[in-house]
Amino acid sequence: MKFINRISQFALFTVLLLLTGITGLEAQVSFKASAPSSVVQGEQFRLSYTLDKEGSELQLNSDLENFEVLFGPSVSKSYSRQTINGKTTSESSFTYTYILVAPKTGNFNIGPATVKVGGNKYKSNSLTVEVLPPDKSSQSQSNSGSSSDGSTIAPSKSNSSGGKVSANDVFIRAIISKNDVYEQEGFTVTFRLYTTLNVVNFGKIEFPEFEGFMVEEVPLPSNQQLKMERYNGRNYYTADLRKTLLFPQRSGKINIPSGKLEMVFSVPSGKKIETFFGSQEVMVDVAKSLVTNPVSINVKPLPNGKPENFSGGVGTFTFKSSISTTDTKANEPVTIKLEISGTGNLKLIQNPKIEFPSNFEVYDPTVNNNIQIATNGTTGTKVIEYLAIPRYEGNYTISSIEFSYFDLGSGTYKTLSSSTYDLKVAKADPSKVSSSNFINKKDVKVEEDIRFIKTKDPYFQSKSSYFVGSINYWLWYFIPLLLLILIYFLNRKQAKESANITLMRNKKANKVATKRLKIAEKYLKEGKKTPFYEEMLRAIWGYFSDKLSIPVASLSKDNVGAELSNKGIEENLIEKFMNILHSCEFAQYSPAESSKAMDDIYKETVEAIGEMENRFKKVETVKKQ
Amino acid sequence: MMRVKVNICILCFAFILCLFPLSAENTEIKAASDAYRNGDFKKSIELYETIVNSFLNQGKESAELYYNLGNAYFRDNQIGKSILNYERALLLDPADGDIKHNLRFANLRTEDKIDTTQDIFYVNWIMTIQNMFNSNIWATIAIVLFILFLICTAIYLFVRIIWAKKVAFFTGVLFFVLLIMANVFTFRQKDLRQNHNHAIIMTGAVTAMSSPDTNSTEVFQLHEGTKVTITGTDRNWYEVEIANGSVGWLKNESVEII
Repeated sequence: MKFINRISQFALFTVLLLLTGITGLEAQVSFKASAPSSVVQGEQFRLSYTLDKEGSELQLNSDLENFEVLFGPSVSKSYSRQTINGKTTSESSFTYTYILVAPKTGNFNIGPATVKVGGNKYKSNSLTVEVLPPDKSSQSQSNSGSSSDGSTIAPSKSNSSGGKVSANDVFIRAIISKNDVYEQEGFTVTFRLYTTLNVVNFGKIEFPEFEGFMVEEVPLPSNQQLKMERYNGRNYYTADLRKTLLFPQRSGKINIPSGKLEMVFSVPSGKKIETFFGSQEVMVDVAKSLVTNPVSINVKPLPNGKPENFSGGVGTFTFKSSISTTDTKANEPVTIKLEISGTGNLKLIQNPKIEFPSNFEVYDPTVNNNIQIATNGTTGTKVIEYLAIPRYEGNYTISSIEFSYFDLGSGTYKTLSSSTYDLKVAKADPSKVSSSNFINKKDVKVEEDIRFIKTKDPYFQSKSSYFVGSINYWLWYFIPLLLLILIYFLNRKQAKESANITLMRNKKANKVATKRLKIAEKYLKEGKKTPFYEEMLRAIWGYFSDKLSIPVASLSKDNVGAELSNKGIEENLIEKFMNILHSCEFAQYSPAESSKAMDDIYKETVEAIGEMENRFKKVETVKKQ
Repeated sequence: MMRVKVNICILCFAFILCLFPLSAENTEIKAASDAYRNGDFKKSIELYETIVNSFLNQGKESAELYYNLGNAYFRDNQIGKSILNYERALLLDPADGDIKHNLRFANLRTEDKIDTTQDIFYVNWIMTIQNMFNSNIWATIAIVLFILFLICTAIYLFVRIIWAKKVAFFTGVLFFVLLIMANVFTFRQKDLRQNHNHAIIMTGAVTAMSSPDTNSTEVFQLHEGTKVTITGTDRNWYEVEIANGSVGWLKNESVEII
């Protein structure tokens, strides 16, 4: 804020300086020429030069050849002295007056005259005078009366008399500078009063409403001179009542309705009275309401193909942009100044947008309009200043600023663009960084655009076939499940069998016994006595051990007998085994034993085991039942 | 057992083939993405469309290609087409963050703002879980879960230590529940891709009628890019349902099925 203040102070100072410069220039000698802008051929008019100091050697320009000088120069002096609050100012003026007559019709230029004041030569301004042809009716008439500017010209003789105002004598025209315009193209409407009568008074004035237009009033001089103008073959006094600059805001046919004015004119009454000087017409004041003509304007829409950043400007413009600095520090402001100058609807132009980097603090632009109103639109410059403060160091680029408008000259859209600005922002001065501990946490902005395309190789999936529901999918379920069930049953069978060792060994007992008996039989045939009995004993003991689930080491005749009777084996069968065991043990260590005894004992054992086997089976079937 | 092995071999082979597409198509894909980078979105759309169509003729589709095509349409300001392609990409890869983001962003640009009936929170959760993977990945997860379940069963059956039996029982139950869920998800994902019962409005504005007849009363109006569910057909008309539950009939040329 301090900075802005400083800028504004500086601006004020320069403006003041400029103003004093201008007033200094004004203090010089003023030398002005004045004459009516239009006169009637053959009528006298006055050309005067006004000087605010005494001068000498007034020389007219040679252009005055087109006019006849009837009289002149006559010099008049005036002097005034004012004392206001003790301050005295004095003014003097010298007027040189010529009376001229225009012999020809047409537009004539009166070139600047020169005058010497205190050794210096001064030039006046030049003038243009339009000489109108005289009215037929007024040619014979003698001049009488004088108009306000002292010229002796007079308008056409009026037809109004008898207290009535003829429509041809007084009317108001709405004059438009163009009736085929583009949307937003400026044009003027002038309400001009044409009269041949003296206006006594203005009554109520109702100007039409300008619907569909943006209206800009053109200032008119406060004390207007009545001008002569030729219209429909007659000369009229004219005065501009109102002049406005209109900018149509929509396309199509737009009507400006008629306005209404009440005016009072002085009209000859038709009565004459005799006076000392002869008979004179009596003038009466007559009120008349005048209606302006309605006007329709054809507004063309702007052609298609508007640029995206169309500013709404219509006219002819130039565009300039400048940046205050491209080398700055963080927290130090940067201003970008955009200048649009030209003619057109300057006021309605939207400010061109500047894309500042997102971490810049951007303020609303200040807009300065320096606009004059001209007949074809406003002319001047529009200065837009953007103030932005970079908050972080780095290199930034501000892309080119575009201003697009509709060019009336070529009837096309034009885009003017500035150059891009590369901004180097250095680290902030440590002294300027705010010392407060408070740090504003910044929200990371939500993504405001779509993400970029995927650049890795695409992975393809089949459109019609899916893993789920396929044979493979179901096989993945079925096969492991089947495996588990298989393993389970195998395992269960094995577990059952290995858990029941007795049953297994029981079943094997007979086999093992027969095997051993076979070995014993071999020994028997060979006549080997000791190994035969050994094998016999091992077969019998082993058989009992398997059958009764008792380890061989803890077997004895007693517990075998008890176990067998427990299992429900008959006593005589037990006795039989006991006998066999007894005789085997006895024969093993007795030296003499016939082969016949060996053969007997073998047969007896096989028989006994077979019988025992039968017994066990019977006992089991009984148990099961 | 032999047949399974052969099948698996074929599957693996097909998978590897998919990973290495033909080089001719590779250069085409590169040309399309280059056009996108250079800002020539119209050309990029054209190239991607031909690539997508040529793969569709081979019965293959890719989330990445649909996504890139959607991006090109978005940049070309064809919001309806871009949403259609994002939706197709999302069906193939429902968990991809880029696709979800761009679809959400493109939906912001559509004109219709339909008040959706809010689902209950756990429905949302389940949908989120379902959309974590596509059908095939869910199927694989289901099989892995099934094998884990079988292992737990085996431990329960064959191990004699009591605490191991207990742990195996409860984890087995857990795996079984997860297995059922994975199966539900895989079948639902497959249905979503197979049924094609969603569509996107393609024309700028279209009026839904109360019956499949141009003279019937207008029910509501839809604009480009809005997603509808197709609930029925009649000649060249679709019966559609929009997110707030309203139902109307649209001509089938005004929508494109996802």
